[in-house]
Parts: sequence; structure tokens; C-alpha cells
Amino acid sequence: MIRLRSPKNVLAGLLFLLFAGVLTWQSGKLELGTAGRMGPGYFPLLLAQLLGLLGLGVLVSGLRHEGTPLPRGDLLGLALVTAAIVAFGLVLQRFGFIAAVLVSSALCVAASRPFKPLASAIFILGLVAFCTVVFVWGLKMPVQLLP
Amino acid sequence: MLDNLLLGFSVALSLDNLAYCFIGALLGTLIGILPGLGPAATVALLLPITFTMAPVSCFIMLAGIYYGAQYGGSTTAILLKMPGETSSVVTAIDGHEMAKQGMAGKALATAAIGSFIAGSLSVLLLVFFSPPLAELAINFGAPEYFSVMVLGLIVAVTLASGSVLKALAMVVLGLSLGLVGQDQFSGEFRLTFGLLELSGGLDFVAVTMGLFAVSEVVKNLSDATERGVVTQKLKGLWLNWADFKTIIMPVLRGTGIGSLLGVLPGGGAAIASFVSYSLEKGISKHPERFGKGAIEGVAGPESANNAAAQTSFIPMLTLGIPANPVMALLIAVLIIQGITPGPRVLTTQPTLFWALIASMWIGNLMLVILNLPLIGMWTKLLTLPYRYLFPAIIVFSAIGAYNTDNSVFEVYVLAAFGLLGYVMMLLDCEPAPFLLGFVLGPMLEDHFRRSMLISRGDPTIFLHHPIAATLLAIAAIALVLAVTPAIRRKRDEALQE
Repeated sequence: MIRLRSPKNVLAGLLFLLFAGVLTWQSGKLELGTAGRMGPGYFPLLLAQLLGLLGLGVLVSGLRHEGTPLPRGDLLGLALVTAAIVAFGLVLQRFGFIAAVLVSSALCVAASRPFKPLASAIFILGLVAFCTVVFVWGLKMPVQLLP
Repeated sequence: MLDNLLLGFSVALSLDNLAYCFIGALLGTLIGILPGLGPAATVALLLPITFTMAPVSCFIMLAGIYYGAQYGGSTTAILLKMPGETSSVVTAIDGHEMAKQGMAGKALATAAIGSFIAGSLSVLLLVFFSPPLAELAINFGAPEYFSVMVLGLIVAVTLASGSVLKALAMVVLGLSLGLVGQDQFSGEFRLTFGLLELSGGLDFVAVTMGLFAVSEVVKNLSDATERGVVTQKLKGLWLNWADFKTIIMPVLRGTGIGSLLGVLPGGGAAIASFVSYSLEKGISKHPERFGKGAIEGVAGPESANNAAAQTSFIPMLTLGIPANPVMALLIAVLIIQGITPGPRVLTTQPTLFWALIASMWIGNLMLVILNLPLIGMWTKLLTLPYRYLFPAIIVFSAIGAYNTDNSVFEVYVLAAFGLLGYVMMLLDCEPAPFLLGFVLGPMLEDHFRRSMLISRGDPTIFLHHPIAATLLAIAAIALVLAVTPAIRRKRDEALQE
């Protein structure tokens, strides 16, 4: 079993290789053409291969050279913040702008520490009012306020 | 030139544009002080609003945000030892030390006055050097453009902190994702995974806010440190003649360093402040005072970062090459407004260029006024806990992404790039090279395909054109130097200090 000397570089290298693979697959569907008369797929495929090479380089350097350990990262916070943005989109389509801002900021507040429910509730209401006045009334954002 | 400047001032001094300049300077100061929202994210957030504005007004406002952030960033650096912007990291060393010794007012005044002098002088460089540079570039053909872009990207990579290999990979990834959407030559849809929503390409605003605002928010969530309240009462926000004589030379040297480094792609302002600090420490008769509240350690770096912020406009305006993420966004603004970025901007849009220049002088003056007498107001803002700030940043980002296209798809793009940005941050892959690649992707491909069409598929065309060959040679040398172990170590030391 190979010990991961630099987990950061190994993971980054794998991620770049993954992207290179997906980009190669997608540009492979396009007409390549020749160097003198390039089709739509030529340059993207060239970049994808270059990315693959660089990714391989990062991966190898991660296996050979010592590096700093992987930081723990705030995965719960990341999940909640991502959920807050996705929820904004989902709720906006079905239940309107006010509900979307409410749900989205509530999820953000859930990710915050220290957690203070009362102050946060007042803050969320203020944010909803502010966004409605500025974006919907002021900047004429074309959305439905209520379901 | 004088006529042009007069034209610039007449446009910049109109009531509308003065107001936009003020809004820009105010917003810039604000986000410089607040954590978690840098100039790149703010400019991206405001992009949808600028669609309906005149190009001149929106450039004046967005530029104000950018250099205003350099002023604001120093305030938190001095008072809290928390740099609001990366370019203020060095200011925090001696600036905060001065604050601890009860000289916070003097440190703040030094930063503001130094920034003002540097800002006003470095704009002169824009005035004198942009027109000839644009003149030179106007004869550029596709091979030259391709080479300039490659050089720009390579220099950005070599100046970024951390692994050169990873930064290169980020550039290439950015270039690739910049190509998503319709092919300019054949009209075919590329890399869209069959999604109709991607036929116009990945949205620039959503990508930038995901990488710079959302991932930054997640990062700050885990830094649970509460921002301390400023206990000290601020007084003596002015410099006496003796102080002024001490700082004037460091300010001028900082201006020189910043002006030169600002032109280079890749984190110009931050590096300029580091270089200025080491220079001041190196030539000082009492280097032991540095780190213990040396006024020169505030004056030099603060002037350098502001000068660099101004001169980074030169490659953007004359060549259409962005030196940093904010300049990349301003290029996107040009494209959205129907103006082709490149050397012709100066001749076809003289008002845009000269009014922007004039607004920089006006804006710098406004910033001194905003930052010195009103400092008490800003310090109150510092006491705002972060947990109130970030739900607002997230909600504003989501609204901004939606507004670009009035479609929820862009909101999901925002979420995806927030996720990607945070994971990349954990793996020490910087988002700035990615964004430069993302903006330049379509242009780079365009010039590459044109060059190869001219040469009928012979890649040596880039060596037969002398300017192109020279630029590529410089890029190659920069790359080799950056990966040479001895120089790498020196560079890392310089960036770490």
C-alpha cells in the first residue's frame, strides 16, 4: 500500500484527472477537424489532454513529496450553505420570492455559530424586508413575491 | 493629451458620474472593512445591475469599488490586525503595533495619505503609458494576441502563491470551462452535456460569486473567532510635518514598486506590498523597529498596494488582458456592453478611458475624506458579528445569480461553483488563475485557431512572428524560473514573510 505523502496533492491530482476525463468525453463527441482547419472539438480536446497531464503531475508529486495533512474542513457548513442556495432556486419557482429568502437565510442561520434563535429570527425578517424593497420593488426583479 | 484629460474630467464631473464614483468608493471602503466579501465578489454581484447603465458610469463605479477596497482593507488591518484584503496583510504587522502603542490615528492617517499620494501619481502612468502601448498593440495579429495571453496567464501562475503545477492546472481547467456553450466558428454546442441552459456558456457572475463569495463564507464559518471591539478612542488623525517627512520617501518608493508590479498579471497589489515592506526594512537605519510599530512599514506597503491597484488597469484597457480577477470582470463588462476589449478601446471609446482616469483622481480624493473624518463610523461596523453578515451574502449572491438571466439554473451553477471553490481551497488550489483562464478561454481559442488557419496547421507560426516569439520566450523563461528549486524557496519565503 502506498502511503499518501501529500493527501492534498493526491486528491487535487485525482480531481484534475476526473475533470480531464469528463472534458475528453464531451469534446470527443465533436468534430475534431485538422490543425489547419480546426473543428469545434480540437481546442477543447487539446486542453483536456493538457489538464490530464498536469493532473497526473500533481498526483505523482503528491505520492512522492511530503506535504501538509488534509485540513478537516467544515463539511456541515458547506452542506448547509449549498443547501441554502439550492433551496433558494427550488422554493423561488414554486412558492415565490419571500418564501425563498426565508428558507435560504434560515438554512444559513442554522450553519452559524453561536446559534441565537431570537436575534436570528429578527434578522431574517429584516433581510426579507430589505430584499423585497431593494430587489423586487427598487430594481424591478421579475419574480412573484407570494405563491 | 490635455484635451483628452479635459474631456475626461467634463464627463467624470457630471452629477451622475460623481454619484457613481461616490457609490463605488463607499462600497469599496465598506467591503474592504467587512470580512468575507472581496472586491471580485462585490463587482460580480453588481454586474446584473450595470447591464442597463452607460458603460462609462458603470466602469467608474466598479473601478471605485476596486481601489476603495484597498483603503478599507487597511483600516481593519491596523485596528484589529485582521486584514480585510490580502494586500493589507503586511500593513497589519506594524500598523497594529502602532495602534497598540496608542498611535492608531497616526497609522490610519499614514495609510490614507500614502494611498492618496500613490493613487494620484500612479494614475499618471496610465495617462502616459496606455496610449503608446495601445498603439503598439494595434498592429497585433492573431499570433501576437495568442502569445500575449499565454504570457499573461503564465506570469499570473508564477506569481501566485503555492504550487506552480496546481496553478497551471487551474488555468487550464478555467480555459476549458470558459469554452462551454456555442462554438463561435461552427455554431455547434460544446461541452454542454446536452443541457439547453448551458448553450450560452457558464454564467460568469454565478461562477465568480461561487468561487469567491460562497466558498469564502464557508471558510469563515469555521473561523469562529469573534471580531474584537475597538476599545481605543481614536484621536490625532493627522500627521505633523515631522511625520510627513518620515513617510514621504517610503510612500514614493512604494508608489514606484506598486506601479511596476501592478502591471504584471497575478496578485499585483499583494506582492507589491510585500516587496515594499522588505525594501523599507532593508534600507532602514533601524531595521529592528520594524514589527514594533515602524511608521515606514505602514506608509510603503499601503502606497504600493494602492499604486498597483491603479496600474493593473493598464493591461486590461490597452491589451484586453486581465491582471487579476476584478480586471477579468471588467473585461466581461466591456463584452456585455458590446465593446470589444483590446487596443482599440482607447481610440473607439475615448470618453470611457479618459473619464475613468479622471474619476480615479476624484475617487481617491473622496476616499481620503471617507476614510479619515468618518473613521468612527467604520469602526462601529467592525463590531458587527459575522453570523449576521453571511446569510445576507448568500442571499444576495443567489439573487444576483438569478438576475443575470432570470433563471434558477444560474442559482444552481452558483451552488456548484461554491462547492467546487471550497473543495479547491481545502486542496490549496487558488481560484484566481482559474478565473483568468475562464475569461480568456474563448479569446485564446479564437486567436489560436486564426493563427493556425493562417499557417495551415503549422505551429511554428508563433516562432516566425518576432513579437509573438519574444513573448512566448519570456513566458517559457518565467515558467522555468518558477519551478527552479532555489528560486522557488526564495519566492515562498518572500510570500510568507
